[in-house]
This record gives sequence, C-alpha cells and structure tokens, in this order.
Amino acid sequence: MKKLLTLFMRDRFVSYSLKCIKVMKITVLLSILGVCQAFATSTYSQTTRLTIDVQNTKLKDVLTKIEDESEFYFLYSSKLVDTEKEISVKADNLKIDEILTSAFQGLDIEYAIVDRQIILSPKAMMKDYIETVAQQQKKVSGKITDSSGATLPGVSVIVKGTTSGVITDSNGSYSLSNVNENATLQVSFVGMKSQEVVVANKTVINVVLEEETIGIGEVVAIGYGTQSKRDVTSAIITIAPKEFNKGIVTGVNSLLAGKVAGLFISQPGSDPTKGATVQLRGSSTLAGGSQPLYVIDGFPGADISSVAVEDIKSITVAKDASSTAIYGTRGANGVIFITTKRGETGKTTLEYHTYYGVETISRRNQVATGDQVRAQLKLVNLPLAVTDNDGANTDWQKVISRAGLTKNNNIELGGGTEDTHYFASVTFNDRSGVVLKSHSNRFTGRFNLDQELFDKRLKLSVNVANNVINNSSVDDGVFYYALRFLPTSNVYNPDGSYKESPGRQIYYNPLGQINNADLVDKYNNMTANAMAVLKIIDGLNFTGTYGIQNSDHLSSQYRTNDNPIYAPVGGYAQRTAFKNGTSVYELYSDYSKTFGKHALKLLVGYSDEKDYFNDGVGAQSVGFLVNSSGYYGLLNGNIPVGFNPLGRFLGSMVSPSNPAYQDARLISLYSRFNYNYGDKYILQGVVRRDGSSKFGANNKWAIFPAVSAAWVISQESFLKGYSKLDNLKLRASYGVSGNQGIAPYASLPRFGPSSNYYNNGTFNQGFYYKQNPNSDLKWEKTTSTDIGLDFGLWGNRLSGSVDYYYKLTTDLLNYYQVPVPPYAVNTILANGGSLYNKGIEIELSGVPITTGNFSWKTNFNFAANKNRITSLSNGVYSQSTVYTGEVGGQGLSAVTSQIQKVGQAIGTWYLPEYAGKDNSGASLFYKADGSIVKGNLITSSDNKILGSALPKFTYGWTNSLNYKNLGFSFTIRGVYGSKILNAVAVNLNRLNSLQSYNVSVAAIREGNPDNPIYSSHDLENGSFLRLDNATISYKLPIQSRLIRSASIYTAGQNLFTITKFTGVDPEIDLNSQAPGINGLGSYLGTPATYFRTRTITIGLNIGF
Amino acid sequence: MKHNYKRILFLVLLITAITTGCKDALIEYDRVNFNSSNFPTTLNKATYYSIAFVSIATMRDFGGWNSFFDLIETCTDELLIPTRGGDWGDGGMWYNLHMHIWTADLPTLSNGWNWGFGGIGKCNNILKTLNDAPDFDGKVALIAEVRAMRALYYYYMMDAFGNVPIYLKTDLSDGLPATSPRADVFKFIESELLAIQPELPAKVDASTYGLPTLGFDQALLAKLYLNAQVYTGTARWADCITQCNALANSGKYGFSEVISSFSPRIPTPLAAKTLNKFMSIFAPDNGPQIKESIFAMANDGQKGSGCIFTQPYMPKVGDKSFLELPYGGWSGGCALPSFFAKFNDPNDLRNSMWLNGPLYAPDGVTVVKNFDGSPYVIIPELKFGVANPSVPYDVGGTADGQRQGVRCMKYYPDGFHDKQDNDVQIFRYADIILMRGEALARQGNDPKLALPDVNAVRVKRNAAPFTNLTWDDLLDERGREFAYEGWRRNDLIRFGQWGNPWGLKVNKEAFRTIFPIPTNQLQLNTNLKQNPGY
Repeated sequence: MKKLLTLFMRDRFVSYSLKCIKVMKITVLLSILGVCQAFATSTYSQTTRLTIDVQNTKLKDVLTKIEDESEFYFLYSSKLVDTEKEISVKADNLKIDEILTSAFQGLDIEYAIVDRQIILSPKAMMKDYIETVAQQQKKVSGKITDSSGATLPGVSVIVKGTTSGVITDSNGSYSLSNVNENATLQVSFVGMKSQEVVVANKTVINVVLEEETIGIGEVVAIGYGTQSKRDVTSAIITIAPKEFNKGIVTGVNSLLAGKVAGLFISQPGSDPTKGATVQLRGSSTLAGGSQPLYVIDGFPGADISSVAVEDIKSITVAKDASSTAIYGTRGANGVIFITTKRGETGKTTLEYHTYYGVETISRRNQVATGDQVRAQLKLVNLPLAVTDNDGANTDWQKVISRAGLTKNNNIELGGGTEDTHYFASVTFNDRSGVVLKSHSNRFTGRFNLDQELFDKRLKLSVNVANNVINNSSVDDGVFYYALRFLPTSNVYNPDGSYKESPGRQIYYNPLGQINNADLVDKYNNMTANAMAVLKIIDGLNFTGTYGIQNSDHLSSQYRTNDNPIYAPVGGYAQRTAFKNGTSVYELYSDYSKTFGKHALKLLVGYSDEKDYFNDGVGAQSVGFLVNSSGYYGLLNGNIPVGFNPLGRFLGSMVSPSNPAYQDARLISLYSRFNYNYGDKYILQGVVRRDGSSKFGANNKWAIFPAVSAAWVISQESFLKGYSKLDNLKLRASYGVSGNQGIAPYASLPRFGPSSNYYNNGTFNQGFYYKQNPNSDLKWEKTTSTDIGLDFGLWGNRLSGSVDYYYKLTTDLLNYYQVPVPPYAVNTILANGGSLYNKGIEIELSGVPITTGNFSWKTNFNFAANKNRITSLSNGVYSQSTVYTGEVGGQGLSAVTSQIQKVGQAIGTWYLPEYAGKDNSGASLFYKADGSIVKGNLITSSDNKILGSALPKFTYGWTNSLNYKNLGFSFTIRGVYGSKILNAVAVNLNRLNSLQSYNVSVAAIREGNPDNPIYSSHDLENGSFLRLDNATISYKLPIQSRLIRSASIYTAGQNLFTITKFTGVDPEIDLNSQAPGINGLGSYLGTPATYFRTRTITIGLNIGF
Repeated sequence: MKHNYKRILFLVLLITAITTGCKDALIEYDRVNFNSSNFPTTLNKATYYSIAFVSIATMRDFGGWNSFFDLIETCTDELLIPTRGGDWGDGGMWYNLHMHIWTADLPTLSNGWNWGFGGIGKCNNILKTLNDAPDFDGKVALIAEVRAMRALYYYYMMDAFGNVPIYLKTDLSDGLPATSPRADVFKFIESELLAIQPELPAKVDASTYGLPTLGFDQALLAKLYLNAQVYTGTARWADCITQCNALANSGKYGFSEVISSFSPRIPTPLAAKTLNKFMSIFAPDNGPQIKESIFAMANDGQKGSGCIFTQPYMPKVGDKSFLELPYGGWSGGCALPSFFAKFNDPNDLRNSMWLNGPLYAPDGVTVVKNFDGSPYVIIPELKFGVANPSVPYDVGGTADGQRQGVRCMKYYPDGFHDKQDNDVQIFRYADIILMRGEALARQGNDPKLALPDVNAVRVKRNAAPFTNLTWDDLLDERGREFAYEGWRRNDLIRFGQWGNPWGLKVNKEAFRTIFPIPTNQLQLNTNLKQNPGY
C-alpha cells in the first residue's frame, strides 16, 4: 500500500507543470494529506529514527532506500530537483530531519516534512512556501471538557475550512499537527454547543464545551434525509436526550411532555399499561386518526413502542405542512422523526443506565368514611342495612392500591471503524402500577449496523428492533366501585370471600373485581429495516430501503367463577390473538450541487407500503369448575348448548372483539427541491402524490404540494455589523397534507352478516348491508400556513422562535347521519365540513448565567391554539349540530354533554346552566326561555353552549443549573383555560342514595337533596400548573481507564400540581372526539382516570 | 455532466413506470364481508331468504332499551318509569314522556324513528335485490312478505309520527322524500296490504310461524281500519269487521289452551301460579304451538333477540336471591296504581302478569330482603313527592322507593339470558276478537254490541263475564288483555282519553296525539315538515 500510494502521489505531483506548483496548491495538498495524518497519535517524523550508510549513491536511490526502510515517502518533480547527483550519507539512529540536512548539504534542495511525506523543491521555491505556510504550521494540543470539568472523549476538533481534524481520546485529549496560525479550530460534540477557537500563537488550546439545546449548525431529520438547521424553512423542532424528561418514562411521547410548543402530550393518570397521547396544533379531525406519523430511522409509520427511551439520539417534530407534505396523506397531524443511536468511529463505548422508581398516589377522590356515612344516615333517620354495616371504615381506594415500583436497566454497546459502525442495546423495564395487579414488563432489543463499501460509494444500514411487552391490567370500573362501595362494609366476609352487596347494580367489591379477573395482554413488536445508499457521482445518491414491522398481540382474559358478575355462567375465559403488519419499500434519489453561492438539492422518490390488520382468531369459553387453569384452560369450560362463542353473552358484560382481517396499501411518488443562495435566501418545494387503497374508487390519488422560504436576515450585509445578533431568520411556509386515518374498506358497499332470522323452526344467519358505499370518499385535507421568526442573540445566549400558524382542514372525514330510506344504513363516512386551528407558538431558550463553574440554562415554550368548526356539510350531507360526549352514569343514560356546531370548537360543552339553589337547597337551572326551574323540568332543549374543553394555551418551562459536577433541572408545565366535566363528582353527589352508595365528602357538606344533572355547575376549571419533573444529578469524579464517566441522579415527577380541578387529574386526553370528561369507567361509556402518581426515581449512568 | 442528467431522467421514468403500473393495486377487497367484488351475482334460493328475512329480524329491536316500545308505552298510563333516587333520571326523558311535555329533541323519538325507518329502508333495499333477481321458486311470496313487513313498519311510523315520508327507492334519483299527510300514508299501507293478500302464504303452521302471512295482512288491515277515523277522519268500521271475520272464521287461529312446560329457575309455587294458559302465550318456550299467535317475532336468547320486556322492570335484588337469574333487574318501569286497579277480578288469569307483594326466594317460601334488611314487598302505590319533595317524580332510591310500583312480568324471564327467549306477540287472536267487538259497537254506536266478543275473551281468561258494557269497560278490557304489548297509546287515543290526567300528567294538548318529527331528521332531510304544535 505504501508503495502504491507513493507512486500515485509522485506521478500526480510530477505531472503538474512548473507554474502549477504554487504555494496554494501545496497548501491544498497538505490539507488533503492532513486527513491521513489526523488520526496519528504522534508525529511520525518526530519519533522515527533511521540508520543509513551510503557512499556516492544517486540521490534518487538514497531516497528510495529511505522509503523502503521507513514509512516516509518523497514528493518532488524530477524536473526541478536533480536526483541524479551522487551523495554520501552516514547516519546512525538519527531523526529524518538530521539525515536530510546532512544529505542535502551543498545541494539546491530544500525539504519540508509533513509527517510521513517529505516534499523536495529548489530552495528558491520552497522559500515562498516556507514563508507563507510552513513556518506557520505548528502543533496544537489540548483537552476538551464540559462545563463541569469532566473530560469529553469523542469530540471532533477540526481545522475550519478544511477536512483536517481529530477526535479526542478517552481522556478528552487531542493533538493536531501543522496547524496554521491563522486557522480556527472548530470543536463540536453531539448535544454540546460547538465552539470556534482561533489558534494564533497558542500551542495548547483547552476548550470547555457547553451543553446546548439546538445548535444552529445542527442537523435535523426531515423526511428522506437530513437538513442543516440553518437551511430549515419550516416549523421543525429537535429535542436531544439531554432535554428528555427523566424519571419513570415508559414511552417516547412522555419524553416530550412540556418540551415542544404546540405539541400537547397528555397522560391522564399513571396507568403503567398505557402510554401518553399526542396532539399537534389542535384537533384537526372528526373521524380520521389524530396521532402524528412516527418515522423511526427512516421507517414511516413505525410503532413507537418499538423504541426504548435510551436508544434515542434525537427526536424531531415537524409541525407545518411544508415539513410534513413529504409524507402526503399521512402528514396532517404532524410527523415525529426518531433517530436512534449509532456507533461512532474509533470509539467503543459501553454504557449502563439504570433507575429505580417508586410511585405513590398523588391525589384521590375524597369520599365519606364509614363513620361519616353512619352519622349522616342517623341525621336523616334512615337505617343502614345490617349486612352493610360492619362498623368498618374501609378506605376502598387504599384497599386497591399499593406503592408502585419501577425497575429499568439498559445496556448499550456502540463503536466502529471508519467503514463499519454498530450499535446494540437491550432495555428491561418493569413497572408495577399503584393499583394492585396493574403491571407492565417490557424488553426492548435494538441493533443498528452501518457499513461503507466500495470506497464509500455504497453505504448499507440495517436496523433491527424487537420489543416484548407483557401487560396486566384492571378494568377501569374498579375506580368507580372503590368510590361507591359503602365504607361501612368490611372487605372480606368472615369466610374469607369478598364481601359483596347484592341487589345494587354497578356495585361490586373492587378488590374482588381485581383479584377475580386476569386481564393480560402480550405484545411482540418487531421492526426491521435496511437501507442502501449508492453514491453514483458526487452529490448524486440513490437510496433503496425496505422495512417490515410485525406486531403480535395476544389478549387473554379470565374472570373466575367467584366473580359475582361471571359466577352465573361459571367464569369466563377469552383469548384473542392477532397480528398487524406493515411492509414498506422506497426508492429515492437525491442530488445536491453548489455553484458559487447557489446550493441546490433535489429529491425524487417512490414508496410502496402494504399494511394488514387483525389477522387472527379469538375464542371464548364459560362454565369452569375450577379457576386454576385460568385463560389457558379454554377447553376446561362446560359450554352450555347453544352458547354462541362469537356472540354477545350476558348483555353488556362481555363483547369480545373478533379480529376482522383488513389490509391497505399506499403508493407514493414524491419530490423535493431546496435552493439556498448564500445561506441567505432559502427556498423549498415539496410535491407528493399518494394513492391510498382506503379511499373511494374516484379518489384514490391525491397530490400534496408545499412551498416554504426562509430569509436569513442576519446574513445580510446591513446586519453584519451587529455582533450581538447571531441569527435572525424569517420563515414562511404553505402546504397541504392529508389524513387517511380511517379503517380500510370504508368506501365499499359492505354486505355482511346481519341479525339471525327465524324460519321454520331454526335460526339462520341473515345478510344485509353494513355500510353505505361512498366511491367519492377521499383524504381529509389540511392546508397549513406558518410564518415564523428564529433568532439568536448575544452569542446565542438568548435564542428562540415565534410561529404563527393557520391550519384549515377541509373535506373532514366524518360519519354523517343520512336518512333511511333511501340509504341502507343511517350513517355514511363522507368528506364534508371544515374546521380550523390557528395559534401562536413561542420557544425561548436562554443562558442567563454561565461562568467557569456555574451555568443556568432555561427553556420556555408557549402555545395558544384556537379551534373552530366552520362547516359540517358538503352540499350532499349536512349536520348543523351533532350531540356528542355521552357521559353515562346511573340515571344519566343517553345524556350528552357536548355539541359539534359551526362556529364552535370541538369539545364545546352543551349543558344546562346552573342557577344556584332555592331555599330548600334544591338546585335550580335556567330554562331556554330564561326562567329558573328545578332539575326535573330541565331537558336537553335547555342546554347552552358553555365553553370548550380545549385549553386556551399550554406552556412548559425547563431550567437546568449546573455547578461543577452537580446539576439540577426542573420542568414546569401546564395548561390554561380548559374546562373539565367532573362526572365523578356528579355521581358521588347522591346523598339520597347513601343507604346504597357512598358519596363524596362534598356531597355531605353541601347536603344536596337533588338528583344529579350534568350542568355548568360541574364544569370545572381544568387549568393546572405542574412541577412535572425535578432532577438532581451528580457526575462522579471518576476518571479511570475503565470508567469513562459515571453519574447518579434522583428525579421527582409530578411533585406538585396547582389546580382548581377537584378530580384525580386535570390532565385530559384531547384526542377524543369528546375530550374533557372525567369519566366513570369504560363500562359506563367514558373511561375512568387511573390514579395520578408522584414518583421518586434514583438512577445511575456509567460509561465504559 | 450530461450523462448524469440522463441517469436522473432514467430514474424518473423508471419511477413513473412503477407508479402507473400500480394503479390496480389500490383496489380494495374486503375478505370478511361481502361486496360487489366477492358476493356472487347469482344466488341460490336460500341466500335470497337470508337476505329477505332480515326485514323481519328488525322487529326484534322494537323493544330494546330506549326503543320505539319505550316511546309509545312510557307516555301511557300502563307504564311509566319513575326516577328512583336519581336512577332513571336519564336527562328527564322518562319524565317528559310521562308528563306529555316532550320536545322533538327527545332521544327516544330519534331511536323510534330510526328503528321504523331503518326497517323500511331495509325492506326497500331487499325488495330491490329480490326484484333484480332471476325467478326462483317462492320469489313472489318472498317479495310479498317483505312488502308486508314494510307495511307494518309504515303502520307503526304513521301511528306514532302521523305525517311521514313515503319513499320506496334506494337511491336519491327523486331527491330526498317529502312528508306525506297521514291519510296518504294510510292509503299507501292499505293499498300495499290489499295488493299482496293473494301472494302471501295462507297456511298457518310451524313453517309459517314468525313470518308475515295472510293472517298478518288481515290483522294489520283490521288495525288500520279500526283506527281509520283517527288517521284519516273517515271511519272504516265495516272494513275492520270484514278483516276480523275473515281471520276469526278461517279456523286457523283460536284461544291458546297450552300451558308452558318452561320451568328452569322458577320457584315452583310461583311457576304454578304464573304459567297459566294466558301467561304461557308469552313464556320463553312459546312458539308455533300458541294458536293465538297471528304474528309473533321469534326470538332466541342466543341466536337472535333484541327485546327486553322484563329486565328493565324487575326489582334490584341480589343476583341469586330472586329467581336465580344471572342478571339483576333494573328497577325501572312500573304500572300506575290506577291502571293496576283495573285488574279487579281475583280469578282473572291475567293478574299473573304483575309482580306484586312479597318477593320469594327460589324455595318459594322465604321472602327476599331489601337492602335495608326489610322484607322486599312490592306495593302498587307510587309515593310521588314523599321521598324528595323537590323532585316529585322521584320516588326515592331508598329501600322503600325501590319497592314501589307493580312490575310487569308478562314476558317471563328465561333465567339464562338478559336478551329474552320469548317470542314477542304482535298480532294475536284475542286482539282480533276485541277489535271486531269494538268495531261492531262503534258501527252501531252502542258499546253493548261488543259484549259477546268481550265476554269470549273474559271467559278464556277466567274472568267473570260482563252483563253490561260501557266504552270505558271496553277500553279497560283491552288494557287488561294487551298491557305492555304496545297498544295502549293507540287505544287511549282512539277512545279519546289521551288528554286525561294520570299519575303526575296533566297536559292535554291535543297535538300530542302524534309525536314530533325528531329534530335530527328535520336536519338530515329538509323536505320533511314538522308536525303541528311542535
């Protein structure tokens, strides 16, 4: 190799004409050579010693001899340097410069040593070079540390404007040779703010890197590639792991709570088996899906549960249409790009992360104690049934709860050579919830491999992740049982069985319901994708990807024959197993070219995605003699003759989900161009054409265009003088994206099994239309306009952005009611109507204090959104009002609480208005005509519009303070202006039924004689401010060859919440079409909120 | 550089080629349900039956929760759903129905409309399928049967909502249907029923049980003519008598003499008392053996059922302590004391339909305890305004509140399914006899002319025959015979007693003899016109 390189280099050099051998050329050459040299640990010429003894030998032979015996090689033009001359050299273990000085004595030859290369030229010519370049080259070394003083390995130190550079070693040290005095060193590291240092006359340059949020030079993920943050023309936010929420975090979404303006993450309650939901920039759909599209390592539509939190390198949230239109018909709810960690060159890292967390209930409903119930009944002179009164003061909420414990362990290994990079990680997470039996156990394994081939012309990447989840859950009805069961009762009967109170409905021993039901869900999610990038010529790449995702879900239930609900049928077992899967292949080609100040990028691509859902079977059985076989013992049941395993059994108690196979396909063609003029004017255009099988025959295909532009004002010459202004960028974007979040076959006339009919003594399967066809069914279209300003001041000590957006969703996917006849079925899924979301988002980040030992960084975000329905018709179908939000509750059946109406927001409350109490204490309400009446005279016609469940604005504020090795950070987040219907409070306000059911403390205090009516009285202010997270961390001052870094931390979550809301948790899921109901339980129609917890976590991170 | 552009061009062409080649790939194929792509175009006869008889299956939803049945019954004096400690408040809908102060927004109205017109829409679609089908044996009768069912749904809708749209198409080629005056709907139903008479099966046996037969057609015509004066302003007593006589004289129907052999989970003493010749007509094992059945909606708790005529009324008692049912009662509807008082002959078999007095455990001796420990004894009295003066319609969630009001057990629970096994009687022989009696009396303007027919029924029910008869006696007899069968509203209106006060109800607005068109239907179809008064 050495020889080959020598020859190659020599010929190239020789071929240059004399005129060409200009200093500049040499400089360039040196720079190129510098790359090879950059990785040397010490300067070869300084350490190598040679022994040579030649007499009267031709100079060229001497040079060859030196080349043979060492790694040096010479570069010269034989036209300029006379190598035919004979010389004599005698050297015994001398350095090369000593040998050459003596060898060239008396000759018109000057030399310059650049590590292993030695350049020869006539003295006169070298003089120029030496004067201008060589004398200024010198060696620079130093150490890179972070603000706490810990050394940072793997930091790249590059000579600005060149490709020459090194990476710091395990001690954070670097050394660079032949650095020009005028040069500037660029020091950069992931998650740290890059720094530039002018070399000048320094030989030791130590740099302290500061952690940063989003660097202007940082690369952000966009669809089908990455982009420098500077080139971004749309509303995109990237979040680095440093900013992730710490503590018990089981899903990707929870990492982002409070971190991104306009991204509303909510997790009502702390159920370990449930993740948080996401909504971006308001509700923009009625019947389509509202979850954003997740793209993991280039795999669109990936399942986020397949990623362990520790595996994430960065998360990018694309908010406006110009950044999401590249995903066409799936982009309307935003796109969240997740980039997982990958190995780095020359650095093998082994990391171990662990934490233990303890959860306790942070807030619960205040219901009467046994003594309070007895006292109240005595007061009104009503007896308490002997069977209900054990003299007990049972705290049923306590009976069903416990301290939650979470254990999390993660090991990751990464590394690589110049051509090969690998990363592997395993994560074990085990979380026991605060409610007995609620438990989640997750294992995630991930492997990423990148391989460069054929002189880096081909890059192959493989990502494989597998995720195994075992969940055990409880029916959410137990929360309501725990509130209503009389506290005067014992938990157990004397014989040890669960004490029940027969004769009252929706009223079971909550502990019995938990322990007499096994509800287990097992998931196995596998994601694998491979990518090949072929560099055809410089700037032109061709990429092919193929990925699959398979998710198995096995759902099992066993309700014992002791369970009072299922005892009459002798217990109930159900198992349902089904698979969902996706396969995607994509081919795309990108081209980039720079002409002077013009930089152009083009992308064209094609993708083909196939999905299938619910490929599986289900089975049920009843009649179990013993419970010990649980759901495994399906065949142990005694199924009565005529039991229909697929039918409803015992009314509403069980309605098994029978997987119905579905499949869908999405074919797309997309293109994007970027144009950048002098980093000043940036223009981007995107066009995607999507064909989705889900839509009607007339509308399978759709085109989604977007344009955006940015003006980097700070690059303008008239602002160049303002050194305090680092960045000022004005962005504007406009584009269209779609939503196809509906089930397949929605446009087809479906004709399927209907009611059974009777004929001549037997019942047979009938068939009828199940769905009205709609061959015009199409995507829901969101047209989004975004204007934003990014800025950075005082060395980016203060930076941020402000965005205004207007999102108009038209052709809303909605289930319209249609008259029967003529239609066969009374609803049709159709496009019609429109709504908009508009709002302002502000992101600010600042570094108010940074001294040698102490730094304080703060990030603040704010988002205000206004949602309005502007139409609910399309000419054919129309609905001026739709009543939604059926709440449920005893005696409150068929009562709706919300209205969808033109001019109002989604989640608009529509209830009677409370008018205080009369002298007897009875509640009064306003009739539609303004008169004031008692509750029994109120009907739905008297309902009024009473504001919306949606918050007016949301905010998040994160601070991190560092002093030497000690760090402290906290996140406060909250919402303002939401209204929550506290259905739980209403249903616990039944003082009249205290003989049967427990009531709230408030009910006894108020002494309310009425029957419950949902009204404005029960709409509570849902605003809250929560200290979501506080973390204290300490970097252990361990520096050894074995341990690279170690830190410990303790984190508290949900430390306090300031709210006027009286329920368990003011955090509501906005994705529901009727958001904001603090519900009683799924069995009554609205899900109940699991207890909200307070969490204390301790964790340890070690890097080897 | 030039060849690079060629490469790019090639790629673009390649991609375009792939895309265009994929267009067919987006055609959907639902493997679970049938649609035009996988449903056979030529069907065998059985398949046509499986489509056609869905038109009958819709009848099952006649009596679900908050259904058409609840709409037409809870506004009468035989059934009301009082609030009990807030339970059954349900946004005031039962109170509104009882008080006759309902508005067009009442959810029950919408449910009732959706049930009836859902049935009509089904019939229209099924008829289109059948008409398009090639000839097969039995096709003519099948079409007639579906038309008969459609006439029945139209009858219920016309009876409840008065002026309703007549629309027989399955597409929008004539736009959305407009409201037709009640008399026009009457005429349409009559013409349909007369037209299909020769095509309907005349045979009455197990093979035609549960199907619309000639008897069904005649019974519905009789019902139509009996109320003709209410519907059209013109009486049709003679036509009613003609249809009734045709049925009564056919020899195919008669009073049922069967005693149910249904026994599981019923305390023996109670069963003996309960399952007499009358109650057996409605027992879970009823079927073709019931000679009274002219048209019954066949149900099976497992294979097909929708009606719940007992569970909503049953008292809330512990799961195993009362009747050993695997489900509890909802303690909802009960009868007004004034209506229960009409059951005044102690020997009348029909008294067995009521759950009154002490509730017995399965041993038939032990009295079940209420939740306050007191014996569970049902009393007919409804103590309005006692438990909670501020909400007079609420009789209280206390133990005393739970036991008020006699409960209907006419469709005796089968002890296994909350969805009932009992076939629901729509038209039965006794109704034909009492209709004939009434038509004769009205034709002659003398209630005593109905005496033979009324006494024929009374004798079969073990009640003492009348010697004299007033119009009120005639109405009361119908009340005793058809309580909770969906005819009370119809009868009260025809007898001009719809404006009478009962329970807490005092409203006598005349327009309330027909219900308003539900608000959402007016929104969906702007060609509909709201009924006067609303």
